[in-house]
Amino acid sequence: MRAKLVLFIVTGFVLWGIVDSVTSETSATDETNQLEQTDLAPDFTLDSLTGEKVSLSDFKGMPVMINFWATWCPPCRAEMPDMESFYQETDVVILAVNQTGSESSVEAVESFTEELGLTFPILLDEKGEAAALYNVQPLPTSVFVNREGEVHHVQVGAMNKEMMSRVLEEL
Amino acid sequence: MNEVWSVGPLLVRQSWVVLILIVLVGYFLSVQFFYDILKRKKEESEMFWNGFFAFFVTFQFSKLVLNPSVALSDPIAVLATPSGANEWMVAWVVMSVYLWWSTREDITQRLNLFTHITGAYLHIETMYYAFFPFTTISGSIRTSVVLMMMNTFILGLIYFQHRRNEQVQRVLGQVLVFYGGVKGVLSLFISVRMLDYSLPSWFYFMIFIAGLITLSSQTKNKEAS
Repeated sequence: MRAKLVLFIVTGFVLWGIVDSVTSETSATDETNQLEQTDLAPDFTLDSLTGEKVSLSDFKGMPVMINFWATWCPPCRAEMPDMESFYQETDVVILAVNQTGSESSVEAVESFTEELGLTFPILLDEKGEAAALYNVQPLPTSVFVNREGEVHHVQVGAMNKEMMSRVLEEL
Repeated sequence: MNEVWSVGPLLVRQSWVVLILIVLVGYFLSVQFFYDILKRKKEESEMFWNGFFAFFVTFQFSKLVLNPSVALSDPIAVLATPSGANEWMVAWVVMSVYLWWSTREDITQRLNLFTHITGAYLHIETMYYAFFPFTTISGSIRTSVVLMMMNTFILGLIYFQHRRNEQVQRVLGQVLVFYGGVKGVLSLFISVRMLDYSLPSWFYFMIFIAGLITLSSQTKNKEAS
């Protein structure tokens, strides 16, 4: 008797899944329309570690991962090898925005980058302006921007390569 | 469910809280499901939770073994990254080996325990997909819904085979063959998941083979008796 009841409950979850699956298609379209009007990723221009000026708007039409990080933050350090491998294997643009104001020196960022052999652009957010634009508080935080320049996904906390690839597939 | 609560220096994701609730409710449902089907002794219950603990610890810490070079230079950083598919597979293998070893003297207990674990997992996975749906196929039905229907079919199979007084070993074998076989074949064409992890098809086929071995062992036992 109990088993039968549990089977009914589980079947209820399946029915809920089916209904949600069908109805969410309509609401997803509505959400996309709203995002087009309101959730455009704010543009910023920062100096890179190699001395160039880099803006988010330079990468219009491309999927972008903006990663806010610092060398003193263990989860930020941990996700860097996965980010490098993700960058090498896909056509994503990665902008690693370092919270330079919280670092001991720019040299510390340089030596960290060299040690890990990172090839994606490292941007220096010395005054925390870009972090403020995106209302970033905990580190690391990754913001995924789609080809239309809209914020598609915000991830607080470290990500592994599998998680990054999954978000990229949705962009 | 991507929201985060900041508690002092800690980040608590809403999804973690929901996941804990899903595990608790899923476990409760599986206990009710097996209440009349498969009586559980106290000793089995202890082994079940030890197995769960072994799974959890392995899932969290096997990253250190799987990434030895980074683990030696920066172990805290490695522990701070979320575990992935490799850690998930290692955790299942470690838990299975532990349960296999701890029930080496009582085959009936082993079969009961593996059936309970499989049943509990199916309940948890089905509930998980209701709250964390995903889709990897075009069409109006999500991939997660297809997997939910498959899990429900397997639970129905367990229930009806019990009513037909089938042996536990035969039922367990059928469940593993069906789960591993269907997911293995599906994973060759589309991305399917085991809970939240996209696993390679060989892992599902290993489950399928484990089911075949269970079934053939049951047939041999039947013939011998």
